[in-house]
Amino acid sequence: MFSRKKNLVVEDNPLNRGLLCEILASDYDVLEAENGQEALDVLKQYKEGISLILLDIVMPVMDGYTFLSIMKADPAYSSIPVIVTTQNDGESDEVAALSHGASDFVAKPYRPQIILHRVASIINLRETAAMVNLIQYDRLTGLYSKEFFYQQIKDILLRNPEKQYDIICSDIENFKLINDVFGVPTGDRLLCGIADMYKRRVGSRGICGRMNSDQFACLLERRDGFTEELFRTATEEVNAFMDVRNIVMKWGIYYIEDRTISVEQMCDRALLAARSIKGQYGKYIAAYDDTLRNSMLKEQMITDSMESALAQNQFQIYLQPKYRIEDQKLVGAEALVRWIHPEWGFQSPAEFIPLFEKNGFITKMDQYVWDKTCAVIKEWEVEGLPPISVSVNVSRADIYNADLAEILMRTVKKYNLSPSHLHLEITESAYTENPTQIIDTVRQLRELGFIIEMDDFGSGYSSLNMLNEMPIDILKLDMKFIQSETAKPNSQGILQFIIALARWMHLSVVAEGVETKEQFNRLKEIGCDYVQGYYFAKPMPCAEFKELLGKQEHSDTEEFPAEMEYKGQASE
Amino acid sequence: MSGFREIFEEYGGDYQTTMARFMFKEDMYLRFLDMLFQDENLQKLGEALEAEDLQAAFEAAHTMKGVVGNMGLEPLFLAVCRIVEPLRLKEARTDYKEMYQEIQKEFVRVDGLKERLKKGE
Repeated sequence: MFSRKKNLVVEDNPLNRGLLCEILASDYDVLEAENGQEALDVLKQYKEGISLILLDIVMPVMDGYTFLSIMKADPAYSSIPVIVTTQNDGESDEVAALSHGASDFVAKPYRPQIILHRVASIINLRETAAMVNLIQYDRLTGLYSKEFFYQQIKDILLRNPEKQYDIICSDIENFKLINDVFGVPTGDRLLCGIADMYKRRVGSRGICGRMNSDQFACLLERRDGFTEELFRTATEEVNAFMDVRNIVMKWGIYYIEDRTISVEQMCDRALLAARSIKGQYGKYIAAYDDTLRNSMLKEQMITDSMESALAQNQFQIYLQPKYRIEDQKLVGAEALVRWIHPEWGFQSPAEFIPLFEKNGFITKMDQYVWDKTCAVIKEWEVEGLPPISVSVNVSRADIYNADLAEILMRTVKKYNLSPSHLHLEITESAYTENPTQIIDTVRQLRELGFIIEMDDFGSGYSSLNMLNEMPIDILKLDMKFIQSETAKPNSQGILQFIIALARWMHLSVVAEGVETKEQFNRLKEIGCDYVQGYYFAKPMPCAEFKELLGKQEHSDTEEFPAEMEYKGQASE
Repeated sequence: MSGFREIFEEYGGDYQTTMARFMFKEDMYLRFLDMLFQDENLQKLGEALEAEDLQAAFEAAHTMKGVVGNMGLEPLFLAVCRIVEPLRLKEARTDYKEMYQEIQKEFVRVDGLKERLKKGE
């Protein structure tokens, strides 16, 4: 059964009190107090659990007026409505009661129907008012609550069809951390500060609301000048009034063009825009557009289907041949992953790889690739093809996996292969993040017999120190680097210097992304060892690669013991 | 419960109005009527008048007025009303005693009413 509303009857006379209780008992739970002091004690216990108070004025210990003054001054109880019971003998008591904050009065002798109706309507009125307040305003910040904010936007758009509006929202990137480290009161203070800033900056030109814990939004009449600078200063303002610094805020704009979509959706889109720049240092604002929308929808679709894609073998290994420059002989391959979705068809790795890196799925997929690659190498071995090695990607996330070496060893053992069959491509950027860990990991892998290739060299913050510290075998030059480098005059080439450096350090050099004859000639000229790129061959399905490998075997196997060839020189 | 209404009206009360207050539960009315005789205000009023404490007298009479009004005891109510107004204004009068005696007399009548109502069952 639902618990009934509670009324408190404050009356010293037992007969009057008893009668009032009897009258109310049909519809309410009734609490009793003999005087103002007792009533305060009951209030302290039940607080706003009491829906209404019926109060006599003339009482011993503490009279009704004193009680009214005390309770109306206390925010914990002041909203509880009070009906004063008066003697039907003059206005003065009634006026005095109302002026002390009573909501209404009922006269003696009691008329039950009138009392019940008044009590019911006053409780209802107060609850409705409380509800409206609760719904309209966010309790902490005083901004509009989400629902009411939506409603207000709807009204404004409807009333002003000729005007143009934008929705701007913000999200604190590290709010949970702030709450955790500095405590909830500090977090609350931050939220109130942000709300104040919204109020101040928006002023009368729009309306503001609190959307979720640390997400705020406002509707503004369109104006020019939404610049990074504007939102950077707003974010700085927030940082300035808190003792806590480094509060990272991201802002999103939705330009309202299409009024047929729901206001909820408009606000969601502004938030999506803000979220799209999460983690991007120095980026404060993003606007929502269809490109963003599509890419986010796509991301979601990819995330939703990646697990099943792996289970259903939708990921396929493609191999891109690597050639020795000297004689243009096939000496190895890089294993690349391709996603052929049964409905969407071919998926671009440029789309799903960064996403997998972000959500951590990359480690699972890498392990899948390692396994499939070993299976392919084993297949060649069984069929008597030359045992060339294949390089696989080891992502940054893999480096942090304490079991990396064990997993890799398990994989090669599963196919009874030597670790040297597998070249591990480790990206240069992993070094900048955590040098010690990557050096230890790489050293361990190398000692186990894996060949280490430093991937993407020259694409990021390449460090000579890294080259010196990292126990690597092969340097892989990034194609972007090569593309810009070959455009420069021959004599000035850094490329030449890198090759010389590699020689001196006894490292082999693979140039990847070679697309033109010109590039190839240049690489040949300066003494690069291996090439990989569209100029020679695109990544191809394993079967196709096997065919290529078979052909080569028939032409001149005896000359090139490929396994021995495509390795770092340091081990020679 | 035949006779309750007749007895009550014969006494001078408004049965309909009064009993509506008690949800027409006659036993409940009798219960409250018993409580009236435990009420100390009649005694307090007497004592206050004796001591010429008009404020205390007013408070007692004022409370009695409310209680008696709720009980719908019209003749007693009128007797109490007569004393409440001058007491409210703190009028120095010589006839408070008579007024009080009038109230006492009416109280005895109510006692009779109570007995009759109980016997009338």
